[in-house]
Amino acid sequence: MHGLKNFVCGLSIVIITGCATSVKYEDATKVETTTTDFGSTDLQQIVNKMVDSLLTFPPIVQVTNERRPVIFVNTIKNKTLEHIDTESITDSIRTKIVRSGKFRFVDLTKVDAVEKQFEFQSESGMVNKATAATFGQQIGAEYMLYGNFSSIVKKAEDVRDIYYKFTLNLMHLETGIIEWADEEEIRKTSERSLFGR
Amino acid sequence: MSDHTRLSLRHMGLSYYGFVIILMASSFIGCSSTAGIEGSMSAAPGQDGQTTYSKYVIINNDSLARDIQIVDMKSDFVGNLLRAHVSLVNKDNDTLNFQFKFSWFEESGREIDPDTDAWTPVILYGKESKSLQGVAPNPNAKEFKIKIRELYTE
Repeated sequence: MHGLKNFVCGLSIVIITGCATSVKYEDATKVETTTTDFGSTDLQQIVNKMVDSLLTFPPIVQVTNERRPVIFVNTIKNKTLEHIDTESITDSIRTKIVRSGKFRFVDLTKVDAVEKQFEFQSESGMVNKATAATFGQQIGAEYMLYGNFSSIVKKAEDVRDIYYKFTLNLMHLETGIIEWADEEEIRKTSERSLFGR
Repeated sequence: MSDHTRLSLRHMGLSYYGFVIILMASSFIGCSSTAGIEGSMSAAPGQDGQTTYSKYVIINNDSLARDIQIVDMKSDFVGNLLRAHVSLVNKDNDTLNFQFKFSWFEESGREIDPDTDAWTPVILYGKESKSLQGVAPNPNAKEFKIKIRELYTE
């Protein structure tokens, strides 16, 4: 009996002394389930699904086989109850599409910076006119990418259920026609267990 | 262990020794293997102009392979992008939670953008079959690999 007590005390000491903070690198692409809040796995799932769907949609395949159309990204409306950086989602979607070589993008958030550079090149007198970028040569976007992000949250005593829906649309600017759209649904639940938090 | 703690455990319906056993058992959970199953398929131009495909499956985790079977692997080109289809079946009656990711390779065998595709969680209900799809990141991909592992929740 005494032996067992000593063993339990020893085990407790081992457990208590094992509570020091440790830092280690993790796989950025691993499935992350710390809480039900929006996380890296959700972002990666949305980006993969959207880009794969866009690049394999038959009418889009037909267009991108002949040329590389230009897209501009409008904002994704965050209608969820969480603070989510939707620009980070669109940044990842844009990066993946650009790297596929199928589309090109214009970035409207950088118009001011570009304008300043143009002024510097044309008016400062410091830049060789032969190498200065000329006005009016930028390419107009043919398509606009925009979407919505919403969620439904339900809570019971020990259970939290969250459903996310991410919708993305590609509109042809000249005709106003939505050429492609898709949505990704994600559902997560968390349950408080007896020995949990 | 104080009397107060013993009373709390009794209150939860656990005996003193039962608690010790649970504590020891819980410290062993999480020691399972991180190895999984890998399926690979490559598309190469044949002599008669037809594309020839070669495929193979490597099993590094026998307990996972007892539950999941790669039934078929196919690939096609959408435009000039390689698209992979992998059919899986759950051989067990219980629901399986696992994760998968695709890797893409050029004809020379060089991996395209290593470690950029993320692990995706999947649910496979008892005896259910499911098709997983992936699209290559760019037209240079001529070969794909699918990796399947158990899902670890931390």
